[in-house]
Amino acid sequence: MIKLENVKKVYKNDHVALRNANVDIQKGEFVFLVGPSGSGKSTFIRLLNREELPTEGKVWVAGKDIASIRNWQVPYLRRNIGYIFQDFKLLPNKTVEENVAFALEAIGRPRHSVKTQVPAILELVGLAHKAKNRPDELSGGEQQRVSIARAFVNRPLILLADEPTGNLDPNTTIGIMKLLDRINRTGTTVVMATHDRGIVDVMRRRVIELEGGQVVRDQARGVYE
Amino acid sequence: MRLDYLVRETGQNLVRNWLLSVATVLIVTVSLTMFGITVLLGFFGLDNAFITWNNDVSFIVYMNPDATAEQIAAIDKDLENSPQVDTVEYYDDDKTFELYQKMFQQDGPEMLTALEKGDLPTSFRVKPSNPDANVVKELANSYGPKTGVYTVDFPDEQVRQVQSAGQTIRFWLLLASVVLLAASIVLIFIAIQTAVFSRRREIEVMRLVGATNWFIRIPFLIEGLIQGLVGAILAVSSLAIIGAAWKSDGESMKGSLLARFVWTDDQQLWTFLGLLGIGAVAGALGAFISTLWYLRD
Repeated sequence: MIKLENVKKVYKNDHVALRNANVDIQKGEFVFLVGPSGSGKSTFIRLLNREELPTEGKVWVAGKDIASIRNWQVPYLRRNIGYIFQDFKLLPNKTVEENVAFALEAIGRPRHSVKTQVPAILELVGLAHKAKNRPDELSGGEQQRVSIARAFVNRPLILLADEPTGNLDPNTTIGIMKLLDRINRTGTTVVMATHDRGIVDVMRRRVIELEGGQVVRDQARGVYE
Repeated sequence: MRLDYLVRETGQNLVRNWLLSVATVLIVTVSLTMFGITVLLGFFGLDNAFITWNNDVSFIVYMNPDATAEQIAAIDKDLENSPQVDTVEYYDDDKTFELYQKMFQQDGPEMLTALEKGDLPTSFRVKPSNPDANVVKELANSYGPKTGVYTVDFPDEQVRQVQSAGQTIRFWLLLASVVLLAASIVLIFIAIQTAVFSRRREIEVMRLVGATNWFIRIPFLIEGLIQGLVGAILAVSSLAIIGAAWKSDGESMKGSLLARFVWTDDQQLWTFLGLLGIGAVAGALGAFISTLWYLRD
């Protein structure tokens, strides 16, 4: 599903964000990316979403070499990838259901499909009763659930999460992790960058540790360190 | 792309930056109104007012209705061979009748049917190589006594001055309206840039969920198109009012030179359609450049 082969990423200011990264992630895996700030976790995720291109090496996502696809094909690649952010990135002027529907409308889904899929996903994340609320009327955990609903409503093959629990308290974090675990069980590959030692240690999933841009550990059913 | 989505997103863009939208529409209106006045008064009006004296014709040699073909041919040869004549055009029965109908088309069917082809004298319209008034007068007068010539006609000095001033005003009006139109396109560009900036969060989300660039661009293009088109509709409405007022004033000015600055309904219709087209194209063009610039792949 995801493969990095000798990947190096150097930014314009000569900062080397990733070097000699070799990773192979199978369909349906749940992978934690751990490491200190600046270790290359966000670059790793941005490469998978083709927000960045590798300076050297190859990155395959959903069977496609991201460097060889043309710019106009990028949106179609991204339809296979859901993205969850630490700061949620919800649209404040839209209600919960409009925020989720927006993800489907933006890729040209027909109205009947939006009408059936949005309530179903809100039910899944436990927010059906808050469909008409705006983001500023929700708690942080609820906002992240909306963000997850938006990322998953299109049933992507891969879910990328960049510190999704970074702004949440421990109790809320548990709820979000349960939700991500549930989504993973549907066969969706989940790659999550995190600093949260507790959840990594509790969930015991595959852990890829980055340090100074290098993969220093790749451990099945691993712990934070 | 769904229509309700398009309407909603475009509407939100317009409402969110309503002040800039209003400013954009107004400048389009002003520039197109000015352009419309230039076309209606400066081109059609001026041409209609001086229909006899267009294309630098300085004098006209009218032939007697009973002038023979030989007499006409002799005058033609004389004018063609004269070094003081730049161009000469012969208005035969057909062309004379056509001109007559053009001149009196605003005066109703009675006037148009009052005369028939062949009732009017044929003529030579002459553009001399030297436009100096005295030289022209002397040259023209030399044709008066020739056989077969009925009379020789000049525009009076006042007509020449108004015609010349009209042409100068037309040039400056045209230049001003083109500059204003360019300013409108720039303002539409800025309005769309602002709309793109104010919706950057939506655009970021759209990109990440896999919206194509064209899908993101289209509401902005429609926004620019609407601004241009609304500006054009307002300009056309203003021009319709100005035109009606001008024509009703024309009734009271009957006989004066200004009353001759008229245009036909067809000319007005084509001008209005042209303005609507220019407004739409200017709007879409400004928006297209802006989205191309700020929403690159």
